[in-house]
Amino acid sequence: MTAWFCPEVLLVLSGVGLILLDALAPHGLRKGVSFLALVLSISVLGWTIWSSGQPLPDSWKNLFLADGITVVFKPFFVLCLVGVSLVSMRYKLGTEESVRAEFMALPFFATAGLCLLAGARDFLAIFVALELVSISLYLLAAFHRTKPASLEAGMKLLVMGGLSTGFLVMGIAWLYASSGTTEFSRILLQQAGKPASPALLLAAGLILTGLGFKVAAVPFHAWAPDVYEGAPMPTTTFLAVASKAAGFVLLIRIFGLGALALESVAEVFRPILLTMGIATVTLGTLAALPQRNLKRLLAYSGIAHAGYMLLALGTLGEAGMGTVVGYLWAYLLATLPVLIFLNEVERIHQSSDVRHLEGLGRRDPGVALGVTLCFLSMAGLPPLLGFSAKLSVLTTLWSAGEIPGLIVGSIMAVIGLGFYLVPIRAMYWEREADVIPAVRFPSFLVWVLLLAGFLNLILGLQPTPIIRLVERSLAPSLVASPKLNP
Amino acid sequence: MIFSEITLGHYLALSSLLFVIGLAGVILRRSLLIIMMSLELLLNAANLALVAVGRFQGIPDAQVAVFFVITVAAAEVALGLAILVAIFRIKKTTAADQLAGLRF
Repeated sequence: MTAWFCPEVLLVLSGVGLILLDALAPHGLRKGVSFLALVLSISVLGWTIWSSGQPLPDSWKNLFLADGITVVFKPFFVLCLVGVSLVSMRYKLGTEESVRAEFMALPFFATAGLCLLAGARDFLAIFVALELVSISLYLLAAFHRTKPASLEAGMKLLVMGGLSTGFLVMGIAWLYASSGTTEFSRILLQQAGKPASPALLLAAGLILTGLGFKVAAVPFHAWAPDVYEGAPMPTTTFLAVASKAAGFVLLIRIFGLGALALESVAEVFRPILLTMGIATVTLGTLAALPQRNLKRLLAYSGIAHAGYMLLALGTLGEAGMGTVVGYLWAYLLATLPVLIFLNEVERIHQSSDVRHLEGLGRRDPGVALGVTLCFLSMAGLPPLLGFSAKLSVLTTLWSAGEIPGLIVGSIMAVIGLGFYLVPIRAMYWEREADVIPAVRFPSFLVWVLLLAGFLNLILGLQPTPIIRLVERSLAPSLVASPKLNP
Repeated sequence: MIFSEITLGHYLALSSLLFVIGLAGVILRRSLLIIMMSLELLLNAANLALVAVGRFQGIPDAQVAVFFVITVAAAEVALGLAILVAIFRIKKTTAADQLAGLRF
């Protein structure tokens, strides 16, 4: 495949095209920029799925690879972009309406970074791709430059992101010091069979800290609720779904696959990852309980989900990695519709407080049903998709013999029901407290939400497609590849 | 004498020290401007380590990496200062404690 037709290149070209259109096209055409962005993102999604598994252009092969993870996660990230474009299209920018093209284009650049990240085989490529994502996101978070909340979110994201970058770069420097290279397979080759050197462990620890910020794992989670609440809704969507998934893709690549090859490193990091997982699940779940702002609730719920994935990953085996891949898809399919829905709530009420949902079950039964299914899937109620995901985390922990993680995970899964029921209770059981403006959801969104809700139900009853994806991502050739034979 | 010859260890120790100072600055300082300076210090601590490792172990790649880090840091700080100016226009201050609008 020539380089011009890689999803990453198409994404960047689309982003540049959107900005150029805004600068050059007549005024009438400019109004269509949101719609065009949505159409472009859907076409790139189609192309990414259709062309997945194609070999990379030769000039990329030193820094990037195409394997099961890229086949599964490039479509994942572009699907996130479709969701973000949909949210952006429906999002009112207020005083920043004149620069809407930039608002629509930046997620394209960030997604290009994510797709590069999925296939990066060199830590330097990981660093540059990650920064492409982060810098676009700082800009998107602080996009309302006259709103204090948005600026605060942008600044917090920037400081936390900068800190995470600092740890990552320091980790890369120590990787050079310990192994003399940053190419992933060469590091594994060089370190295989040796006892883990302190420099390598330090490098891995620094990189884990950097990635801990990205996935909002305890103790690096404090930024998430504030940034989710203050940032514009499309940015929150991107952060909640795509950015978190990117952190886990890197964790799978670096720690999951690395640990299969380097048992000495795995010995050190298994307890660390599991402890982080236990702390993250506990804090995310307990802190979510008193939340009444749905954006903050989703932030803590995201932290809890990150904890489950860390627990699964922390077993550092093939089964754990597969579980994380499946969990990420389940998380995407449940969270993205909820965020699309929240965007509408915020559009109507200018806030995402849970009381705006009161009486929705009677006013708009279709929307309420779709969103309820998504919330229940997030909560992990059978027979929805989220249940299969949580169950596979727990079975992974059981078969790895990690009993503390198993116990905490099960308890928190039950407590978690409590806060996912808050919005559902508001929709069906609460009487409408105040006079609600008679605004209805546009009918295509009702269908999108209903479809998403039932997708969670159908995939929960029949999870074969997700299992296929998991198998595809960890195809035997891939899992074997880190155990390189020189 | 430990200072008779400067080794890689000395550079890495200095780089770690700078890293810790930068980290302390981000955590402890109140002014957003100084927090951003501390972030730069973090990245430059890493740069020092990269350059030193590249020089002592003969890996030119490590020194090339520094250019990437410098470029990214420049982009980050440009954006950070832009946000800071916007914050200053509204709040008339750059103190981090004044940024506490988002609380549960």
